[in-house]
Amino acid sequence: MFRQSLLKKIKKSGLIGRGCNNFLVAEKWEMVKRVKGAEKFVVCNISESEPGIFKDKYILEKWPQLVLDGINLAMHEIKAKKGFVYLNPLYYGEFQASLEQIILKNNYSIELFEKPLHDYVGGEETAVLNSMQGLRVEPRLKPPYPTKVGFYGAPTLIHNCETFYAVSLTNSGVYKNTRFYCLSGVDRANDVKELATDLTVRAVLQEFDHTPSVDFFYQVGGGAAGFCYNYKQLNRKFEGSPAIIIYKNNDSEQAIVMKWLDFFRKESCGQCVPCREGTFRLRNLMYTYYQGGKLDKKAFDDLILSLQKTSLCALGRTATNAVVSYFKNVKGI
Amino acid sequence: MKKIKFYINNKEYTALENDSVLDVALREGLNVPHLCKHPDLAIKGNCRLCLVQVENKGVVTACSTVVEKGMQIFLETEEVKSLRKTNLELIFSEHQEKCATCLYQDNCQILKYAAEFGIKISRFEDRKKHYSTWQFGDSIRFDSSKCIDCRNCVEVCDKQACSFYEIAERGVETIIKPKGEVGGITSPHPLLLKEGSLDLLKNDVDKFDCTYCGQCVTHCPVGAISGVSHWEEVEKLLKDRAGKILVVEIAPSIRVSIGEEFNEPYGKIVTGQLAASMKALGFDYAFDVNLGADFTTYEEAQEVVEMVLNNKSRPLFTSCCPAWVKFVEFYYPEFIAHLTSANSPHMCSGPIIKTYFADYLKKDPRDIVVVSIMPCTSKKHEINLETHTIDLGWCLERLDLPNIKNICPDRKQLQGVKIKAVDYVLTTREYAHLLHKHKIDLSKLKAEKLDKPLGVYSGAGAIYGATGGVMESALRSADYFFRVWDETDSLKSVVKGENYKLKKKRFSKLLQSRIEFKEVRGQNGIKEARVKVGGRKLNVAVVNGLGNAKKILDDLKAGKVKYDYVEVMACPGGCIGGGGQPIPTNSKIRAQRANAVYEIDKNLAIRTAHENPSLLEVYNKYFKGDKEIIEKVLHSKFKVKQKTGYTIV
Repeated sequence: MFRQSLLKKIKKSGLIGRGCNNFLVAEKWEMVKRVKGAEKFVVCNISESEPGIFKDKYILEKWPQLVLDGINLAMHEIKAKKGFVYLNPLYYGEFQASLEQIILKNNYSIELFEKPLHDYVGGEETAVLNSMQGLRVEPRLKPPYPTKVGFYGAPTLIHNCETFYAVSLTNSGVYKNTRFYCLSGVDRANDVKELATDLTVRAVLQEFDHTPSVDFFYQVGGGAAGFCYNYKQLNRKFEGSPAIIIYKNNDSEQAIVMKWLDFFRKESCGQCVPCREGTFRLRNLMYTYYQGGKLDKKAFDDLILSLQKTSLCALGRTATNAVVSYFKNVKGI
Repeated sequence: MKKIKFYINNKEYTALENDSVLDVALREGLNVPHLCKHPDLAIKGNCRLCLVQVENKGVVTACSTVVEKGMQIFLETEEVKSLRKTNLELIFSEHQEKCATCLYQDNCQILKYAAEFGIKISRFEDRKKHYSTWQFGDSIRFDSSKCIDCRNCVEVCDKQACSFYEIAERGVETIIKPKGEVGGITSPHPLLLKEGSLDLLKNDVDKFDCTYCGQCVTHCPVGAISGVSHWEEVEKLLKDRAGKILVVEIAPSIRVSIGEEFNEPYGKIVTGQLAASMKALGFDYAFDVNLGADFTTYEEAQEVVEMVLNNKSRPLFTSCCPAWVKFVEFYYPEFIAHLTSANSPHMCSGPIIKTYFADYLKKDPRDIVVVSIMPCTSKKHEINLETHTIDLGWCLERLDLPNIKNICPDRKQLQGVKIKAVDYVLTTREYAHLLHKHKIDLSKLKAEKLDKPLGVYSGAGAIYGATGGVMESALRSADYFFRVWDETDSLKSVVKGENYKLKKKRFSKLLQSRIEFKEVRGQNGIKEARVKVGGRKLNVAVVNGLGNAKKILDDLKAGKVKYDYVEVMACPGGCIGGGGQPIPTNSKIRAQRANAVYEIDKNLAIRTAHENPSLLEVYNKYFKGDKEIIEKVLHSKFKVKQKTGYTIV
């Protein structure tokens, strides 16, 4: 009776996964449950490797017990015998002892797994599975989704750390439709706040005591794949991760653009043509331009389209979000 | 099976459950460009060329999109065309064009796409100019400056249980390479691919090596991997003989595949045109390895019979596939003693050509050049093995070669002089390229006959090209040999090549022994059968693909299975799917080539090696029952091999 009511509670709460796909948690659980007879796994993804996002760390510092409880609850619900916490190497070093203590105390069948590299694409859910299986750390073709074919081919429930925290709260009836927002950028220390889920960017900035102005622009959704907006464009809800990075409008264009392009060139897993080659060519194209060369605008546009529309995974598809929106919304080009 | 109706370019099509859009498109003859997809392999979706537009879904890759009911697909919207173009241009930036020396120039998929899309292949500068070329043994070359990172080679090599390739590094530094070095993605010091850095890779020869099966070659969509080239040297000799006699011989499986290089349908038998083409190119003699295959069968079947009669340790493994032999020598040395010692077909005909045929021509064996046209890259390795050299001093001492003795009166000079039994191996592709280059269109030639006296062969030799063929040939003769033994209490007449007529006829008046063993035919990876030959029951297995071979060997080691006689071919489908065969090669094409091989057998008057008059003549006239001669000319020794890995060339 208890177990059924958890899924019901989650369904009723409309809880949405805290990764970046805005997937309904209850739906994912049902998909895993639907696969009959198989061994099942639960994975808590704490890869947290996008610049400007540091909420998982905040949660691990404050509520590690709730995260592990959430994993355990999910394991019971989908009848998984084993759960994993996939931690980036920095967090593994920092939280291993405290997490293991809680696991031991509660006799949870949960294991910690240290992510081999602190890379970006290694946080993608199927790359997480490959990594745990000792395979090359890169995304798999989807479908099939992990809910059907996951860890060693078994149906696997993967959520972000914060989702399991929210599951715990939902189970004990204290979930209040809140989530964690990250703020970073010029003249500020990294900051995290737990606020209502449906706030606009402007409202969140207000909560952080920042007043948008013409002097700034804002990257929303993460420091790598997030979109850039000017101060007038902030009456919008968040897509993707609820993170805001504040930039000064007069920051060096070259420094900012090259930072993004270098990031993706370095983080591409190298699996598919548009991302492996495109991130490299795009970076070189702009580098040449900033060195005083001519900009091949046609190539720039073609590479961006190819990345956005034909990349195998979300990394490539979102690799040009920042650059494109920066030129459009901030530079007005 | 459930059928799904959907639409491509507004026309209704039917898909089967789990069909991808690309599956249906290709089946229906619609043009969707693709490179990384190979029917033998998993869908990887990394070349991103097979882009199509799906209504309400946008642009997707056709290979990885499963058809859904009512789906509306558009193959060539402006958006799709433009995206395909960019991705192909990016692929060309990885692939350094070396067309002048590339066998693919006659049939290059990416050049075809380039023309079709109207792209500028040099839009993005080549970025792999300084990448290395690796050579594996004396057979395979991998030019990584042409590699487009599709990973087909990695996957097929894993399937072949060798895993000689690996994917290292990440992003634009990703490199497909032979295994073994300091890198790997978890390395704390990732190896940046700067000029010269690839030369620093360590050759991890203790763990990995290549069997030269060449499956990576036939699965590479851009010609980055190829057989070590012999065609240039052969072409040189054709231009300037320098007093040499050029003998060319064709393997059993060539005649059913080479037509494809000249737009003939899959499985077209072109033996006559092949003979004509060899003459047109200027070879002096054109022989058939099918006769060599009869020698292999004749010897091999005796080994099978002797194993049973003397109750030797089982199983006996065939050994005419050099990639399989190398696999055993490297990874399962405990089974080396179980390999038959009979030479592979062209290693039977080669020594005969360089001895008895040389004598017939009144030529010094050193002036005869033997070129084998083979479906195989591993054969390039086989001809360099010590066991396949001919010791001229010994030949003059022991063999009946009166004319050569006349030419070379000073026998002492030839003491210890060793020559190769076969000098060059051309793959089917290399030979087709030679013809293309010399503007000889095989499909338009008038059929001619192959040369004799080495031209007569049996159906048993013909089926060597397909998986199960060696087994079936050997069983046909073993059946006869067992009966000879039962009637005469010895195999002497067999060793002497006397064509002993059995007193007791079985089956029918026409057939002395059983001919067809259909239970060992077909494209399954592992076939098992209990067959009755010469009144004895044998447990046999026929295996194709080294991955399946590994399975069988592991099962044998674990005592899970027991066999008397096992045929293994390294390549899927046997030689008709060999690493030297035309590209594309896949399961459908392999089946069609195999059917043609059995067709040849069915239409031959003589279908067993032991009835082949040419073969019996050689045994009769030359070997004269001398076991030492037979041993030396037609048998090999195998031994544990040092791993050699690769070299940078």
